[in-house]
Amino acid sequence: MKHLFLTSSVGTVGVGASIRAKLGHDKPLKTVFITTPIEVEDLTDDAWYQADHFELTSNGFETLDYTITGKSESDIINDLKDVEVMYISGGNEFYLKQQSNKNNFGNFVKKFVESGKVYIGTSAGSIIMAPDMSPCLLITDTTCCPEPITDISGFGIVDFLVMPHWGSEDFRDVYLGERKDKMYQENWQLILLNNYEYVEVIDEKYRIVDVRAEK
Amino acid sequence: MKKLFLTSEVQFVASDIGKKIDSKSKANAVYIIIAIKDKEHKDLEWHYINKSNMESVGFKFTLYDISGKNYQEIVRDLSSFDVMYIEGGNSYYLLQESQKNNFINFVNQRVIEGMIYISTSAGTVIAGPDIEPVRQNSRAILAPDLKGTKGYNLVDFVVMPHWGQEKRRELYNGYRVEHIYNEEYPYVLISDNQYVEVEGDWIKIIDVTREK
Repeated sequence: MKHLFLTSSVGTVGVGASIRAKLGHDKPLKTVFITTPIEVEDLTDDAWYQADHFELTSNGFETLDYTITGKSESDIINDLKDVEVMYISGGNEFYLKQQSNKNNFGNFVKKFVESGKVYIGTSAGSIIMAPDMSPCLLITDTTCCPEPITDISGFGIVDFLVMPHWGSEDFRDVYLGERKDKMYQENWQLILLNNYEYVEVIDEKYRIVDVRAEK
Repeated sequence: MKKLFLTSEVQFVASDIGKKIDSKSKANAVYIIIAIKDKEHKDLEWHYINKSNMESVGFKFTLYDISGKNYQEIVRDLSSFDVMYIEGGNSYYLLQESQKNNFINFVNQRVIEGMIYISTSAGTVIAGPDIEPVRQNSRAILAPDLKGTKGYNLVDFVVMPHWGQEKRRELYNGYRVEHIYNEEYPYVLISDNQYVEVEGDWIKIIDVTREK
């Protein structure tokens, strides 16, 4: 059974707890925290990253930081064989895809999810699950990537695309700026997701959960 | 179990939806036309195509107008239908007329009981928690007796229909996208070739151009 939680921000208070409640609290879950999307981010202010870490660990996800950059396919298979939950951080989804293409990480994630293990994503980690990430070229800066971005496809594990942080002041200019017109196309199944919401996917169906409504 | 098919324009997805509903239910359907009653709509060709495309996949409709009916009449006239289709048009007018006779409560009750809800545009927006996201002042003035913008609340997200359609580009990019840039609700954007299928608490956005 496919089971995914695609968030804007797992660090929003209540999101980690809500996800954990749906998984049960019987034991800590060995969780790999994929840091690759952060590698090209300016982390002068890393409060969001710290908050994501905190929300996971304080809700029984035992995290192990891991990057796929520079790893081979067999390294990844070997290093992550005992992991119960995969978490992919926010950051740059195009850089993540670029690194994934070097070691077939997308295929690893697909098999991981198909085996019934739980997947959690924040922002870039949610976007990357879509078949096509091109609308995110409008919101994610790719000039910071060390190599030119040529692949805008995602892992294709779900058939919709989450547009994260909708409604937040931090993203107002990128969503409503001159580039918004390019998002106005029929090509995608789009969900505009704010920081309090996440999409829970079970197999082919999903639901949008607002943690403010769960209190 | 709750079952809904929320479309932008049912004519483009009717054949797909038709495959998912049994013949007996399709033959016992009511077509709520209220949203197209206001005088703004001179050209109703789209409505006739919606209807005929659904009929061509097995739906048999009784047309019904909720305006001027009281709650008891609605319960009497509509309780036996297995399927309710709500046509597109003016969301504000549709909501106003739904408030006058508590049609909202009736629809909620029937959906819980298993009546299948299918809708186009206004009927899709109104299924959500609020119709304010699709505000157009020129249309809202046609519903002067409207008391608030709370929708039927059959689902807890707002579907924004006709996404990507060329003739609505200016509406969306000139006003509507900014209007919904908030953290009130989840927004699902669907093109004319897409619809949201709801089963209980679970949804799926179907794109008929990608259906196998």
